[in-house]
Amino acid sequence: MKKLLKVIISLFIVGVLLGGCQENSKVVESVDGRTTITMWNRISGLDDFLPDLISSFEDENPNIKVELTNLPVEGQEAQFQAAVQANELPDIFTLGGGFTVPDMVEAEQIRDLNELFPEEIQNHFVTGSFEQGQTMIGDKIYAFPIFSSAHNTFMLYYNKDLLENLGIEQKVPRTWSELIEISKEVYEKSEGKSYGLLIGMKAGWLISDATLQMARSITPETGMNWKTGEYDYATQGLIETVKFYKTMLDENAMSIQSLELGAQDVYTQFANGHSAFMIAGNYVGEQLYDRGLENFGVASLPTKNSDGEPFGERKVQENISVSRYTEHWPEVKKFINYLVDNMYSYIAQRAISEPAKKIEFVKDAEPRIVQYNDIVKIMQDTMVLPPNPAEVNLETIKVSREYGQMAPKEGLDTLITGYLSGQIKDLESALQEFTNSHNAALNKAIEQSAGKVTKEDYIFPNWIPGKDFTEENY
Amino acid sequence: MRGLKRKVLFKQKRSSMTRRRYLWAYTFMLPQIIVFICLSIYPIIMSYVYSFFDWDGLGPLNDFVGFTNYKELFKTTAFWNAFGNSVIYALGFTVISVGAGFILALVLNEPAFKGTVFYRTLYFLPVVTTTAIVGIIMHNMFGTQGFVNQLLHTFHLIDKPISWLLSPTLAMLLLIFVGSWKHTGITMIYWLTGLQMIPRDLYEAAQIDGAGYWKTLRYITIPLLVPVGVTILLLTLTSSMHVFDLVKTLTNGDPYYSTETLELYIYRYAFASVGGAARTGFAAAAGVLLGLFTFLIAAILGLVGWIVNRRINKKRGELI
Repeated sequence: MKKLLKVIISLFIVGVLLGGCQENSKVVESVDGRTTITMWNRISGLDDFLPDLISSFEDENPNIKVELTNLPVEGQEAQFQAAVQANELPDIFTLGGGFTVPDMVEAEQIRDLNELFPEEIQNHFVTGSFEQGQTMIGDKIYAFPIFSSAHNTFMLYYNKDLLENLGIEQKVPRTWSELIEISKEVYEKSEGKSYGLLIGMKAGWLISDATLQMARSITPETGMNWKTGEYDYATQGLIETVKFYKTMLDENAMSIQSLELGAQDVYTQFANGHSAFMIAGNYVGEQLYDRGLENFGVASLPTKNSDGEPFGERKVQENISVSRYTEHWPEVKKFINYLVDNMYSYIAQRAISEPAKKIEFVKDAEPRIVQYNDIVKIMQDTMVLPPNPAEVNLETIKVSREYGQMAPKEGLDTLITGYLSGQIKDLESALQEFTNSHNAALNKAIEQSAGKVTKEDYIFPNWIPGKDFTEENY
Repeated sequence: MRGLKRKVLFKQKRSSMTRRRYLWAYTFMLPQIIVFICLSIYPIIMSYVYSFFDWDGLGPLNDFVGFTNYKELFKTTAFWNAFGNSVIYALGFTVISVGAGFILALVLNEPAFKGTVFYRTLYFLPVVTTTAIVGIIMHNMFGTQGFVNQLLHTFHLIDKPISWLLSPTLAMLLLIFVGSWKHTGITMIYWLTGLQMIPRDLYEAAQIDGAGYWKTLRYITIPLLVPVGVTILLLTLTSSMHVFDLVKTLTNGDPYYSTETLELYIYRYAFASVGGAARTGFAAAAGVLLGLFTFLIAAILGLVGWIVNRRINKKRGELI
């Protein structure tokens, strides 16, 4: 009996241990003998075409199987964190979940892609694609961009059908007062059924970046002032822009739903004619077609005065990396080369964004929507290359990571919606406090670098706001 | 002598049988113990460990900061705001769901009431629905252009839409209302279990003595339900401190953090994708404080339960 008991306990322990081991070992080959490589995608525009692209890759490479997982927006942070902890990131992934390339390099999770991106191939990409601290660290490339660094440009979409039905002259509003005027007309002529403007303010990234773009048309130094190396959010430009939203709400020129809805809900409302104008990102065009609205136009964001120019800062925000622990590097290389050759055609055709690859190197780049060229033009006109401290001192990458951790978790969007919903009475003080906490976090991070980074690394006296800060300017 | 030997042998045999039984018992318990250690004990211990580190959730734990995270938490207004919101939610949720559950249980326990099975199922239905889905649906229903405002407008009860989700008071009330609505079914079942444990002959005796409905409720039902009530209170209050999915989907802490609960606050720091890198160590410290506070509530209610039971037993002893 005792022996039997011992055998049972031993078998159980061995079973548990083997079970544990199995969890860490990756399945290297599928049942049909093909090598399986895994991929995580977190970008909503890509999930439409990646299955097609993978399928054609697999046809050309019958010995390789690509297993794609599209991550949901919610919860991807936890998924990335768990995978990093267990060294179990997929072979290829679109980086996300709040983690940046420097984070992943520091955690020793991604491998360099230098052999895939020699200078000749790098030259096929648009300016700002291989930037220190974004896709590169030192002389190593750790990620390659999907979209150009102008991705996430915000613009004004207008519903031509609705304006036509209401008998409103389709003059694109260039200034805030013009927008208010047309919006009030929309509200009145539709008898309150449609509003002038809708913005998905629940999407924090949208409202923060769009507001900064508009604010810079009044105070170009809003955000990081590269002349002083200090953050400044309590600027006249930002205060006036937020107050402009308030006026829009008070005068029924903007729907109060803006404070309740996220980006996707607003696209639907706009396509259904609930508003004549919408502020949204450059990637919305085809999504409106999918929702049944084809007759729309795009314009730059309106400004307070007609001479103001809204602008945003270029940054590579969506890119692809390879796990350092991949066991199938030769297969991964093949797939990445295939992506570089073919992915950008899909991006241009489906009007998701301006591809990171120069358009002359993209085959079959004919867009499916007529507004695409206008969208790309606005992207190129609006976004400028800011100074990059990492170009001067690589140690600033670590400081930026530290700053990211110490910076307040409250976003600019929260202050904007807090003011619009009446919770923040003194906007100026709130923005000043926000500015102070960001500067305090940056200064503390610099202090912790023990002299490797100084405030000087963040000061660029020759910076001209609204203009590209190119290599020659360093 | 022979008798003694037999006795010793019998004792030895019995103790070896007992040992064997114990061994078998532990063998069968082993999987559960392993699961409990891995999925409950280990995460609890690790959350305490993380709380003493400045850690972003990536890489090794090498930046020990002692009690810094706790000190910072105590000084952070946002933490106390979330703590206050959690307490308000917990109190509102507990009062409504325990109270409404009790009334429903009383009604549905009446033998004269027809269709009890149907109504019990009906009131229990919200319990089995997915909280996140309920949150999304309610968010749409209570939106400015949502169903509720349209309904009120149709019946000419309002001139302009009510911003349910943009007013701090209305948003918190809505959260409490939806949370309690979803939970009342389960407290009703708890109360029904308690009610059905009360011997019917007590009511019959009271009726013979001329006691009406309210008197039997006052002198029989409520006193005998007190121990069960304390347990229901304990379960409801502790579960309400851990509200997350409903808040995330219904209000997401808005407007301006006025409905942000501690669980949402912890999530914001542990898995930050906006506003810089995550602060898992800091979030763990907030989690530890939430755990300690919940434990304190449970301990107080446990003590209350123990005192009540002791008094009841004492009274029973006096009656016998």
